[in-house]
Amino acid sequence: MDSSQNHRSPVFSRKGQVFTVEALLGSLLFMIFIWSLASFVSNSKTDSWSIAQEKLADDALIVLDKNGTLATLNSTLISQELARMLGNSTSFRMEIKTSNYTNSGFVNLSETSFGSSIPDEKGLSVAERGFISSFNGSVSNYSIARLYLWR
Amino acid sequence: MEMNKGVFVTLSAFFLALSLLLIVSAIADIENAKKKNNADLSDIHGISSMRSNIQWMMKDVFAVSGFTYAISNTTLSIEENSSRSGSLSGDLAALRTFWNNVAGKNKNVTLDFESNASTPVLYIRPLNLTLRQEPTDTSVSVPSYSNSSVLGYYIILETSCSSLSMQWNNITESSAPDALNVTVHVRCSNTSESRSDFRQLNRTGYSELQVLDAGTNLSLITIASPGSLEVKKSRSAYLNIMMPMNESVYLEVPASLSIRSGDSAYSGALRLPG
Repeated sequence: MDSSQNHRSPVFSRKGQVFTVEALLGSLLFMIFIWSLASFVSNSKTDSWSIAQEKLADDALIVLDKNGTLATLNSTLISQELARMLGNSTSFRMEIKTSNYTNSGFVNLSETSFGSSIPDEKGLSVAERGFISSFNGSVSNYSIARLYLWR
Repeated sequence: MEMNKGVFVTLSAFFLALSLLLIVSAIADIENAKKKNNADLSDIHGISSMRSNIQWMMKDVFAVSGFTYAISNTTLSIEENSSRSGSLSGDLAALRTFWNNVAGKNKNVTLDFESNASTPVLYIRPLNLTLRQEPTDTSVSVPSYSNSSVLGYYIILETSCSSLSMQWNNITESSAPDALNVTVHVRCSNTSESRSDFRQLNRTGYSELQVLDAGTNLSLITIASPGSLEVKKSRSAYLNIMMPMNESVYLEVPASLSIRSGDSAYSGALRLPG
């Protein structure tokens, strides 16, 4: 038997190593490519969801304003209405700041907040709405409601 | 031969890596453009939402002061209750400060009323009619170039009174197709007494109807060329004026509004919601 049949030649051995290194580098490149794609797609999804959630927050505030619930400044009533509109999968926090207009400008009357604690993670949407309360044919208070939504 | 093969494999690997990098870079560009679009979309949505919020708050301030309106197809109906206690001009000034200094600070909101804000005025667009509304005097001014825009006035006046009478001090009637149809209905809120009158008036003439309560002046309604209306009241009353027009209209506040958010901005007139 020829000894070359039992032992691979150095040329074949080096060739194998080069192919292995190339295959590893190729796999690495391919993995980076797939990882980049996945990262872009997931970011894109987050952005679209964030916009949809922002609109949801805005619409919820409009409904609360138009049906007069916001003007009551009643946290229980507002929470019930929000829970009914948003369902169980969406959490919220509401902040309402009420001011009174005097000769020297706006004076802060009250600040109230209720709902769940705001998480630190991404995916938080916020909407704002101004509204008035009246008394005896005149505007008595000017308020801003800020609604935070997340999943 | 072996050498050529090696160079070929290396070049192929290099071009493959380069093409993958190019694809990733292209996708990154697309995603960045998408992100920018989303950010712009969010800004535009924020501006639109804030503009709508200001419009509705403005409508609410008018309603609190006793002035409400409704637009149905081509008919504008305004209601006014002059028994209000607050000052509309004061409330509008406060609203401007609220948006400019408090609620709209982050979005650079600038709301400015035209110079003569002490007399509450609204424009009826696109016909360019002016609606002036004060506790004792309500008027609709029609510009000469828009003389056939108002088809008629249906006026309801209700107040506390005892003995009603109506008399035309001046009247120029017309049977022409473009005559102004004017209906006046006055009723006493404390009794069931009421008076009504319907006339087809010449819109280029001058007509004046006086409403009296037990011989004293209660209201003076005048129609002047080219179809302008003025209703003067000597006491607090509920007033409803319905105006059929020759096209769809909307109300505009004499104010300018500008909102800036990110790279997007809005600047224009302040239209009241329909």
